[in-house]
Amino acid sequence: MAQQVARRIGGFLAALLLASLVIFTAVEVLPGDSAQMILGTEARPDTLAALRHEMGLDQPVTQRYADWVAGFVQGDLGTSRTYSLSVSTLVAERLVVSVPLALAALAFAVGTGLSLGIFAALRRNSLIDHALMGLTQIGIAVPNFWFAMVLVLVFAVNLRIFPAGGFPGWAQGGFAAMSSLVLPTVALALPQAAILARIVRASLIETLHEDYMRTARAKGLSHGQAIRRHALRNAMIPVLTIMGLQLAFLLAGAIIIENVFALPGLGRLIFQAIQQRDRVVVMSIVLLLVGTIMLINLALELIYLAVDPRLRKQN
Amino acid sequence: MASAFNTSPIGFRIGAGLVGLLLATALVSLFWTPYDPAMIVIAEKLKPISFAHWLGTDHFGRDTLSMVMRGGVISIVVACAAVALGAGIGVPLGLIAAARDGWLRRLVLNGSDFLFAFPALLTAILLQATLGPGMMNAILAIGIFNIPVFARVTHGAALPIWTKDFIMASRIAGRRDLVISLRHVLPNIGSLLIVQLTVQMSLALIAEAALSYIGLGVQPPLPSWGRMLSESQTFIAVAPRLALVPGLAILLFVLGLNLLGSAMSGRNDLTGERRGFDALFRR
Repeated sequence: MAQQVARRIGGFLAALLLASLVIFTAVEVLPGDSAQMILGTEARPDTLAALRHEMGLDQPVTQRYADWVAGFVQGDLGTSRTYSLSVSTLVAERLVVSVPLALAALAFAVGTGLSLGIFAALRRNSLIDHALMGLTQIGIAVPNFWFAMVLVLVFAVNLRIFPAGGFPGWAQGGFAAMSSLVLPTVALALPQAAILARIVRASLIETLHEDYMRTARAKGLSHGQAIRRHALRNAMIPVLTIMGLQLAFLLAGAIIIENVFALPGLGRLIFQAIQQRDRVVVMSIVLLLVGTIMLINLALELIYLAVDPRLRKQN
Repeated sequence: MASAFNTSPIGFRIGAGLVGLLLATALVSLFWTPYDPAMIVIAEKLKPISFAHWLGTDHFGRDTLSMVMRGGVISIVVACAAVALGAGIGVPLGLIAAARDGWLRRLVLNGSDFLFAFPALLTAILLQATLGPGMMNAILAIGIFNIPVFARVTHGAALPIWTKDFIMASRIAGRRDLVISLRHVLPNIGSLLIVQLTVQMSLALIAEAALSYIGLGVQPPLPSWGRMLSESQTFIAVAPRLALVPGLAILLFVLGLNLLGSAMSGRNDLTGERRGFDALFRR
């Protein structure tokens, strides 16, 4: 067991190091001299040299990589050139928007997905089940940024219930901030809810056919008790995996939705940094996101290892 | 899994009908559209639906119907090419991983997991920003993330085939792994791969639209659904149909592909469903 855990943590660290190398190469090395790109080809050599020195580009590549990684390990994510702020400050500012948005979207998706999925599974092959599953097909097919625009059209332009975009900040009172997150939350959550509903339904139908369900009824549990105690619990195992991955997706995947609603979240920060060639910001945030996803995967693996004895015996 | 609605011939017929209709429209637009989709007539700007312009005109006076028709061509070409790139590299990798136990398999599987940790859309944006916008780079940026999906799915499906008796017979007959993979394994997982192709096509369509929406992807004057959406956003209060039409086109196309995929996968199969979704929210 301890050996298995150690091996997985080792694999995680190796993958993280490799990711940092890949990201550094893709963002810092491949595109070429960023000082030249900022100043253009007509720039005077001494201006160019000064900017290159300021950006640390006169250092060898290996040195720059080592500095970046060493800083990262110590919690220094670098300094943004365009904002003149440390990347960690910028990230912290944006997380105030991104984390509530991701959590609200996940809660919304799980709430609707679970209830619809369970409802449909318990009435499988009925008319309402077919109607619901047809709806989830549409829910998955809707591009969420287009759905966001439709929401803006209906609830912001026509009904004027929610703002069409922007974020007033939490300082103005929670209500204004929350109401500006409602439409983005719904837009982000819709495809996720549809996916979850289908998975919950499929998973629950599968467990309803298991032998232990017959045993549960045979030992005297009512139909409802058997479903709550045995079927639902077992059906949740694949659902939990999906939810863990969805959270990671929602944190990183809001990039387009944040653009639709002009929300100052993590996705928009990185999108702007890409456009402004603010490379440290891009590198550090991408590594942060990739690291988070890897960490969630590691956590899921360790949980399975703890829960499922069969996995411990392997290898 | 798929309920009776989705697996029945009805689901298949609706899916095939939608996909066929949109493909035919895109094909027709190559030879004929009501107007030149790039023709700017400022005097005709933001005209409502009329006999002259069945879906009205946009803020440059371009005919919306013509743009939607031609816009599909780009989306389809990019999505097909990206998925072909992913399948072309991913499927052979998956076959190799299933045939060879050892470091090669570990390399393919761990490599896939590694790529999965990168948020796909974000990385596609990053790649496009680095390489520059344009159709080829959009194909590359979307295609890369199809490689691990196809490698994983192919490996997962091919592995149980290798334990079958006819494979054993083939090995005893002295066939090489390569020949066995191509002659016996691939035909047996073909239907599954076709289902995965439809899933990935629909994801690629949405990804292409998203890239064009934020200004990467295909550049003007080529019309594309995603860019029509982003241009329409300014006029959403004045001319909501400009936002509705291209979005509906994407929705119907993706819906058609998903219905086709569900109908073809055809059984109460949780693993199939999960596999599809695993790929789905990595967009």
